[in-house]
Amino acid sequence: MKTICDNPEYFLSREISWLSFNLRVLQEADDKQKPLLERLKFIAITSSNLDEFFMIRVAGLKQQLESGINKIDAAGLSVRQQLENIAEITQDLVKLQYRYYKKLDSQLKNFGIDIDSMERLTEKEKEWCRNYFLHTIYPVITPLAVDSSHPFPFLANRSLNIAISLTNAKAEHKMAVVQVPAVLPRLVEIAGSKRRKFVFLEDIIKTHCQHLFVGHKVKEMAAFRITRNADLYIDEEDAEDLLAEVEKSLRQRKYGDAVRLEIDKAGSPRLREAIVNAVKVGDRDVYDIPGPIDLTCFMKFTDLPGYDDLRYEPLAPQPPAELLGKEDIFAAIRERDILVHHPYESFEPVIHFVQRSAADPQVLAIKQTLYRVSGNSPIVRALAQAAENGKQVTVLVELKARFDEENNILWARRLEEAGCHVIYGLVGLKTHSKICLVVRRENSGIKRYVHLGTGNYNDATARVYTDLGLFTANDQYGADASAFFNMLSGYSDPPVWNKIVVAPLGLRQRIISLIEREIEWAKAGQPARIIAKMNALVDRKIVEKLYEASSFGVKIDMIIRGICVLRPGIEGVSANIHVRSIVGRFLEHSRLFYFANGGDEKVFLSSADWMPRNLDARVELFFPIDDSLHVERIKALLDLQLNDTAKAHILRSDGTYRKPAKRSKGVVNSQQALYQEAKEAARKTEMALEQRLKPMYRKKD
Amino acid sequence: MARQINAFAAIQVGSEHVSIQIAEYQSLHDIRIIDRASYQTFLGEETFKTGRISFGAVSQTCELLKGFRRMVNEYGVRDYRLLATTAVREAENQQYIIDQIRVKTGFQVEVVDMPQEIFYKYIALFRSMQMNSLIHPGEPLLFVDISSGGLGFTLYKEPNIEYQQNIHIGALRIKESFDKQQRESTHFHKALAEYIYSTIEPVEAELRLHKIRYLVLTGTETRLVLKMLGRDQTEPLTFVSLDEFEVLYEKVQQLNLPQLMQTFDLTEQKAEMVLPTIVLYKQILKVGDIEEIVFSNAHFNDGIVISHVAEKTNDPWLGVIEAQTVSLAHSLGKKYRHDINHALSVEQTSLQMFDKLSKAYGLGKRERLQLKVAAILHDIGKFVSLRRHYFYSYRLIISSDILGFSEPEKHVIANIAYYHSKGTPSNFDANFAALTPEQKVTTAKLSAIIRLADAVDRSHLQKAVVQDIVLRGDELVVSVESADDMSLEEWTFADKVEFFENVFGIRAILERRVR
Repeated sequence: MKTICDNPEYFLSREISWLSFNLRVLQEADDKQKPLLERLKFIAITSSNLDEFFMIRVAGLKQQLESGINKIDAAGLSVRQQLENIAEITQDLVKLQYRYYKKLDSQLKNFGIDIDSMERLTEKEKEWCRNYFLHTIYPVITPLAVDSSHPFPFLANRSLNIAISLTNAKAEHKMAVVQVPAVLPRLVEIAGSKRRKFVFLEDIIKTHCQHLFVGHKVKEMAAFRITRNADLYIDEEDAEDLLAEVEKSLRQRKYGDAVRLEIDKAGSPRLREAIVNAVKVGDRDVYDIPGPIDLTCFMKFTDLPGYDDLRYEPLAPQPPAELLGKEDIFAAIRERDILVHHPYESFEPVIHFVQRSAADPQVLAIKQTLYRVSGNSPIVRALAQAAENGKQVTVLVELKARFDEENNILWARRLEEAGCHVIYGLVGLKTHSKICLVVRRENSGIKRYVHLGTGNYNDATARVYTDLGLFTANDQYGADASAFFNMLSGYSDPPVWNKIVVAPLGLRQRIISLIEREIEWAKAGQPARIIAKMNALVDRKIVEKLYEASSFGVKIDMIIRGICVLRPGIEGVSANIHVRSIVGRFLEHSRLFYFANGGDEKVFLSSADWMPRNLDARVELFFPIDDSLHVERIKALLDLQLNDTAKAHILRSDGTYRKPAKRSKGVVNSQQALYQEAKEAARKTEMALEQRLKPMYRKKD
Repeated sequence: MARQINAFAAIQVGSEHVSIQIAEYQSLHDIRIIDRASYQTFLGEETFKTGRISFGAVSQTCELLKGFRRMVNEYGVRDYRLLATTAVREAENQQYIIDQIRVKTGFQVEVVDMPQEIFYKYIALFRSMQMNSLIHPGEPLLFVDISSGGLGFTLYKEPNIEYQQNIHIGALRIKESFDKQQRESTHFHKALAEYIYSTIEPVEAELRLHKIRYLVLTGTETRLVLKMLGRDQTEPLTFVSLDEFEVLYEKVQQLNLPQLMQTFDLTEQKAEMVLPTIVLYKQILKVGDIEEIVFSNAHFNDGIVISHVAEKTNDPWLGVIEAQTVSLAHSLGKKYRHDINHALSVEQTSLQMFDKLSKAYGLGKRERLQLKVAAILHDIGKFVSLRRHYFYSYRLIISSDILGFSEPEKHVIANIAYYHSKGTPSNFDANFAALTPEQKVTTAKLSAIIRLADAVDRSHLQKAVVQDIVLRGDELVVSVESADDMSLEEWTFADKVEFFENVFGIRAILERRVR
């Protein structure tokens, strides 16, 4: 059905919106308030974001183009136009990225860290490099000749390579390719220098590669890197064994079609042309890189020991305020729902909840969804332990969690061996919901404890991602959780839920009806307001409903970290909608929703962004927050983020972002403020603990 | 002292669903359903169409039951009952299915017949009405259960069941009776109404005279109707006025399949059920003078749980339900104009004898109830003919629905009536030959008792008043008092003792006390 809001002019392109998000990430690298190595890390994040964007989004668009599907996106752009825009914007983004990188590189020297080219090394250092090449690098590299009998080798996705042009004694030209070995550190630290001195691995190889080609003369060299289509294609319908299918498809990922070619700008035009022709990409997909290719290597580099003053002062996650002084987590949850906010508050209680359940003799069963877990995850270990302790453990491991598939196969195996009942997701749907259910036999009968969250059960990312989690013993949630797992296990059709809303079973419909309710309130002249915080807003139907709400006078504030296709501030369409993005030290990840509802305020948490893929092709959860204290807490949190002036970016109607105007109150950094709050809350009860520990003496003493 | 908390799982392999309910309880008053699951299957469709359940469907059912086995283990539940209803009951390959389920899942399957199926649902419904204080004297209730394969009418007038009739007509069965082309015809609606009316018309004849306070509806399609009415489907009871239903009925008539799907947000499969269901409801509403409709979400499994808990905790509520079964027997007796005083006399005397013998002869509560109902109904054949009335009693009992008994139990009752005055149960009689060995013994014992009790009131004048019955060594002494001459009774008694002595191996003596 066509609505008044269904107009391409009212939508932003999602790809361009994503690129502006990555620009916001990159701008963090230019934030002079920030320690140097942290800024460098944002350079690396920008790169790894771009890699993923090309492997999935650009690859997808290219596939559409090849198969002749010319879908017009919500903003009215054809696939070709989108690809053109992406290329144009990315070229500029990359230029800016290297400008920032060079700035940071020169500033690092002020702190005794040199990342040098080979020419700048002393003789002694050059000698060290030569030895490193001969003893460490040489044994692990294999040059591949390219000639009439050796076609251009098929190079793995995201591998760094060096193209080398050679001449032999007869002055015939030849080409060879050397893969820069991924097993060695990309930044090689030269021993024996007073300063910390690093050179790029490929520079050492380039300097000494003559060794590899006896009887030939190295003429020119250029580093290059290919990015390939890496979206998994799994034929689930016919898959007898999903585990095996995912493994197979992972091997294929290394060798998908090339979608981007990065070439060292310093190389010669002739060599460039040879590489471009060999890799078979269009001109538009070639990026000439004015510096070292693939800056993701700085992700690890920023952990360089001994430079703590160039990094953020560590912010230790605080013990959650609502669990302070509570020793028995089950008793605490029974008493009252508990809300935890990571990473301000520690993720430890969530791990403890599973560990305690694994060991508790009263616990009968544990059921949990796992989407992305950390390496050596304590939760996986606890679940395995629980199964070994004779508990009934059901784990839904989502094998299809992108780029984590390899990891997930390992957990799945380990859990199965321990005796857990492992479910490998649903055919055709990714299970993105985050829920853990513990069934306990107590004196009063069966009692269920549920943890529901906006983020993954991953203790590593929980230190960086902002997420909320709810512990509850309310049996309405408990019964829903049981029914949810019965559904995932294939024992039951979806029931009528008490509390939760499950995608793809009507979550979009529910969101739309919540927006419609605000419209009704606005029409009745009652308080009508929506605050929605998420990572991405792409769903067209919801955006159109938001426009409708705006036109009826519902005040709407959106806090969207990444993609937003909604164009705010159009008179008569979205004049009442404000969109801001917060990009800061922590990755904004929680999905929170507030509806004024004529005064009877409703707050919800969810695992889902408002994107078609989340609402149609994933199993997601959306659940209400009942405790009035929690409602207030979340309202305050949203309020704080809406007043952020330090890390917020405000979306303009043209799709660009601006920094908010300075306020008289001074700079508000919401993430910092939230951490302070968590710290103060924890300190308060620390005092109480000290008092409790005061020794007691006999009165007459 | 706190009583122990017990857990129990009720599992149903139904025609359209395989479902489970896990309950916790201390007593009948604090049953808590802790988990439930239900998965749609097409066992009924297969049985109704082909007479058997396919390999694929049986495997799928076993997979589901394996999952239920996990659920049962997760809550540490040991007690369970797994009941199979219409689809399995009517499948030719029933025995193989039961065996496969046992081998693959470890569950023992009980196949219940239609009266039992309706009884368990009735229990759940009645309980739910009772808990909601909707049962009042002078306010008759008509319970109608619409399952996929059958329809059960139960008229309840506190504290008695006055009428009970089960019919082989259900929404799914109706739908399957017409092919797609017929269903899409513009005449379908009218044809459907006539088809249903012709089937339930006799029920209307019985119920027309009653003013009914609540029509209590249950069954798989109630949720569908509630959804179309825009009501919450999770409420245990939903009240709907006749007018509200009428509006829906009118609306549905105007819509074709795609429109139904769109208007009510239904799948095609569900939408196809709408018309048979709504027309059936409409016809049901016509059977009596109904004030208001109540939709109940009571489920077969609720009835299983309630009856299990009542039995385990020996709850007096069981007596209430038993009394209703007995009241239904009395209604039947009245319908066939039995001699109520004689029936009561035989009931009383035979139960007294039963109570003396039960312990030693391994007779339990179910047998006592069978004897009681047999005593009430033993003479109803006289309504048909005074010659061979025992035969007609047998026939009438066999063809009646007596809520609370399974088919096999009913056959025992009918056989007791058959042998209540003479004849020796023997395999030459087809009615007796059809019984299992256990049923044969039960029939023999109970008919031997009823035969003596009948002899004590041979004159139908209640001249002899039983004072005492004593089991002394291998003699059962029945002491009676009488103001009148009771020669007829004494001669008859003497005539009938032989069968009793053969069955029980003890002598029965009628002793007349002098006042």
